Amino acid sequence: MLNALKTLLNGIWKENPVLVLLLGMCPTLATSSSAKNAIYMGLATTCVLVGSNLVISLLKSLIPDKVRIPCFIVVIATFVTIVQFLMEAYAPPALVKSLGIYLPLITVNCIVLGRAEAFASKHGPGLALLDGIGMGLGFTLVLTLLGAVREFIAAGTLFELSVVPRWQGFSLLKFAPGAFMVLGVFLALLNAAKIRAARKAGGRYEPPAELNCATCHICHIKK
Amino acid sequence: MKEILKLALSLTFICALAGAALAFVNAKTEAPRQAAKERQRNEKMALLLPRETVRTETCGEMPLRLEDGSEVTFFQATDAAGHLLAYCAEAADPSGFGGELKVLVGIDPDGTVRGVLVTENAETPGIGSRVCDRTVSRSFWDLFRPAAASQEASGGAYPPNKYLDRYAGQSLPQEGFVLKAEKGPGMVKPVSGATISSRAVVNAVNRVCQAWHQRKALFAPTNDPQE
Repeated sequence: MLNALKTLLNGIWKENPVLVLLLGMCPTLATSSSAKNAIYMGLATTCVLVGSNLVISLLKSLIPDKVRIPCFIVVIATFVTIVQFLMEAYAPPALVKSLGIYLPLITVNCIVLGRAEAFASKHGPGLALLDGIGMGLGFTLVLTLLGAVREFIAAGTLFELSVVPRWQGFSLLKFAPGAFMVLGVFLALLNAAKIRAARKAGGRYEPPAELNCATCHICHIKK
Repeated sequence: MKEILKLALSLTFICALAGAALAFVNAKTEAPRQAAKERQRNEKMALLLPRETVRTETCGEMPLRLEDGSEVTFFQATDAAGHLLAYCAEAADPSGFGGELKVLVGIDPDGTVRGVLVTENAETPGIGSRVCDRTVSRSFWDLFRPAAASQEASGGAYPPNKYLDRYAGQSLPQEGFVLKAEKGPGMVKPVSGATISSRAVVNAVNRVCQAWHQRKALFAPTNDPQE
């Protein structure tokens, strides 16, 4: 039970895919131009992530090591297409339209592939499902926050509702360079908070060993 | 050799599973997806057509193919008694800033433009999209004033767009006359900073106009089938 909770919260905070793992930067920067886009993109990715994690974890004994990447991609692409079909059929048209070009791009979102490789292919279906939910929610939360900040500064609106009347607007934040800046500020704040917390505890901040490239075994191929 | 066979077989198996799953979902959602598309277009058309409209259907064999290879589709709107009320035309132009842009034009039987909507576009948000968007800008504070919100919703018609509304009420130009996005009599003034998007809309409207003249017979003076 504790383990399950830990797996779930891992994606939301400790190993947040955007702020800590820095995965999926392309959709993060491209779709966080407004809070609404960001939350939809986050939820669609979560659906794919949960589905692919579950199926890959169930099929893991069937998948030979040497062709695992093509197998993962096939599973992920299948889920993306299914989500796309279902959304086209049943979701409100405005939603489908605003996500139009981003939806198929979930296939190449490295959060989805990364979790398949690093987690789902090594754990049981239950934990893999929770990891998918946690990572998906972590992605959605940060994306929405990023989208809200960008939208607010760029247009003075939140979820397309104007908050500050006659806001001058700062269009730079609507585009990719602005996205880099806001994300940079987010990362700086997170690091500052972590360093502060470490100092208070009387030590020096060290990045967790498992996130350090020198000790990372995510891409390790079993002999 | 044996290993290669094993790899190939397992990959084939997974692809076959994926294929089967996709085929199943595709078959299950094909009808609802088609219906959703149609419903979406009908909702858009309803904004441009008179309130009395009960039926919209394509006029004869559609789409019309123009000389440049592009296609224009005309729909006719009829009321409960089968009287012709107005037309709606859909055309596209590939020269938008972000690629193709689709336009829906409502036209009265006498050739007057009722209104123009951009149904699909990939223009830059905040710049080119100013030419295309008809969105109500609602204030966050309105949420706490229910009266204001409901008043807005009952307003009916579509939200204004400075550029697109320049077409409304004009009659489609004479045959051979090409509208341009520039200042001047009979022309449509573009939005500054969004000239390319403005031009793309004008091009699409020109296509509708061209198709209108090309198939004049289809839109001959209103003769109601019932009379």
